[in-house]
Amino acid sequence: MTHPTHRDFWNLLLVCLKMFFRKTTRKRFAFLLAGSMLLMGYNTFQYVRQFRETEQRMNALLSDKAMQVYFFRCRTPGDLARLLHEYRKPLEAVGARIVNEAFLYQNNLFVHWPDSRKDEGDRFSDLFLLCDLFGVREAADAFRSDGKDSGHRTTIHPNYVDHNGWGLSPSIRLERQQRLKRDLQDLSDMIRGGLSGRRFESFQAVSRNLIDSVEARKTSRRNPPDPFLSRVNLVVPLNLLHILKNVADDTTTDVFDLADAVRIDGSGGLTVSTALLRIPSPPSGLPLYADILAYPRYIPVVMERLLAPRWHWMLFRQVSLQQAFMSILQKLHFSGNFLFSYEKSHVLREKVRQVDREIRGNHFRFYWTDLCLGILFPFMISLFAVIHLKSEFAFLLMFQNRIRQLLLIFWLLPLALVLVLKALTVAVALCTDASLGTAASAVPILLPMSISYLASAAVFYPVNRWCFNPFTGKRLNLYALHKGR
Amino acid sequence: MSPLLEATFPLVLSWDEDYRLTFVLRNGRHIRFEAGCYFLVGDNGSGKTSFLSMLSLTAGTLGPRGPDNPGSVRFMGTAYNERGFDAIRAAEIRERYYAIFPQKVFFLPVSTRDNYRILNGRDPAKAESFSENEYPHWLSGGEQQERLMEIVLDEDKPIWFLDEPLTHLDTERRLVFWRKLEKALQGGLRTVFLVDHWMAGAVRENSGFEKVNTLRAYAENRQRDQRSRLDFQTVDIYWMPDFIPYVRRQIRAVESEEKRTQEAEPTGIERELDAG
Repeated sequence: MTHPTHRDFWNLLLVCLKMFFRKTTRKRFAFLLAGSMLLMGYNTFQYVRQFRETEQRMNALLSDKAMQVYFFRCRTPGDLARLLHEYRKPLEAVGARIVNEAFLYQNNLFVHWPDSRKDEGDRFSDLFLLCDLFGVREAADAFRSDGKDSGHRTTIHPNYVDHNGWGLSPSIRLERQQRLKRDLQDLSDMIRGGLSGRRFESFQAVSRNLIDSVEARKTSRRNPPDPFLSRVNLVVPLNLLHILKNVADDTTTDVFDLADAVRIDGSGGLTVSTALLRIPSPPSGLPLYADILAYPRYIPVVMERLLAPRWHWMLFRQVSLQQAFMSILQKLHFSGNFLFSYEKSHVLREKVRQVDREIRGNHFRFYWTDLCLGILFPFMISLFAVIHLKSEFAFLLMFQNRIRQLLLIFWLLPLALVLVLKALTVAVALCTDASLGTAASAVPILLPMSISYLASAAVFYPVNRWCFNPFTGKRLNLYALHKGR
Repeated sequence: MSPLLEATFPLVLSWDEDYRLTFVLRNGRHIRFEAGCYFLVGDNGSGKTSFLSMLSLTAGTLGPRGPDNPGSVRFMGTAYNERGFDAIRAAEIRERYYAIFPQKVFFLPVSTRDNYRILNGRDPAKAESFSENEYPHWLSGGEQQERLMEIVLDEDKPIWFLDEPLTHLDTERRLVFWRKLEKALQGGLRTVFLVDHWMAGAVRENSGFEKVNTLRAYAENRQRDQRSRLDFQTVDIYWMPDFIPYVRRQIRAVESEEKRTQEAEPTGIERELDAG
């Protein structure tokens, strides 16, 4: 028996296309194709567009650092001790960390400004995160002057950053500065502790030099801060308090040298002994080196893995919110350790819910409509073929055994058209994304689209066979079809 | 030599359970189709084409025998209503062994070359002899019939089903047909089934054909809103074991007829045209 070759198959395919586009049926077939492809193309385009939007929103949410930091209020030292005792371990168990060397006091954030040239490693990652979050990384880098480090002395610029006062009048900003200086003076007094005599005088000299030098960093920023962090007034380098603490604790340096440890530089900076810039070692269990009575204060907790992408069983990614941390957060808030920005947790929940709902809705709608159209459109072509070319197929089968080839052609042909259409739509989306520099976000779209396509191809297979039932069924009727009955 | 084709009656052909055609034999329940030519003689509507269609596996019900499907057609020992026999197997047999010339000429709506490629395609060189720009629906009835013969009548196939092949043909094309048939009979063709109304009289009288049996075709119409009707018509089956001499006689007859046509005096109009 002569088996049909590839050439026979392509000949048959070509003749089938010619028969479709013969004069009597070409308009109907063209309208069917155009209508179906328009409908399917629009549906796919809508899905891709919505996918890209939700993907961008999801990525923005996942990369939103403001959602990773929470400040808990501690009214008294006892309150702080209780929080640390009860919640440090549960927080660490869910992946959250209480940040040392940072706290909010009088709506001002005191944070150690790490030296990005030296202070690397995990220990300072949370501080770098806070600096980035409040936009003080540049100021932190400029805190220590480049090239003026002479080994044992370093030049520093004791500038703070006016975080939310960019739109205030100069007089109000000056008043905020005066208030900060008073706060610093109070803190200095608390750090000084029980010093007396010449050491007391030396400490006061250092303190005065430091506090007098504190100024707002000049900035050209004209954008409002992140809304969830906008209640923070000033961001102040905690390094200043470290210097004071180191001076207070220094019992080895000569008192005259100690008074000279911090000198006002002619260029507006301060030269300090490099040894005084180190972070004083805190007693075990405390976030700061000493329990300065700066209360009520808010201590920061960083939760980097609060949000994570999660695969849904229907093969799309959603945002997952770590509920264990949110429960702790809720519990702390309602047990007296109020959150600095409690509404943020609710906004976060709502954002996650909304993005997830949109992603899920888009995929459910796509799966449903694409499966329906993906089956209906090929079915229409197959049905069109059987209706309009019934006699031709019957006649062909009187002479040649081409049933399998016909079934394959009318299964493959519509699916190939659908594939081309979808590939073009996705390619356009990917190219657009690539031009916008967000190509990676569109790649996961291929998975649901492939699954939907394969599912519709699988379902269409028996549907196509059913269409061709007059030629494959139990009743031979080629002769009847040929006679036009 | 064992017969390629045999049939057991009654053979039932049904459409939508409402219309049914049942074939029975006047003598016996079984017929074996040996080598030679079988000529079916009957009036219009007597069921000749339907019977040929059943034999050629283009009509009938596949599947195991039952009350609705009591008879069978057997090709080389394989009954077309036995278990495992499906439309694809039927198509394989048709493609390999049967040459079917249908009563109504039909083509795919593409060029004659494409028609040959798709409906036959065995000989690529022959495909080139058909024009890529010639479309069958532009041709006259006789030309269409001739093209279809060239396309579907394959000399290698052992069984030919010819349903009124000469209807629209002039002498020149009839000659082509008989010569093609002669060549096929000298080659691999063993059994020919032939229906032709113009030859029927001669076959009945005396031309070497032997009457082997008579078919009775019972038509049963049970369509809704119509009075149930049962009537029958007959088809005589004639057989000629050695068909080549008969074909040669036909060739000679057509040749002499053509010669007479060529020698006939021109008509008045033709004379005027010649003079002009």
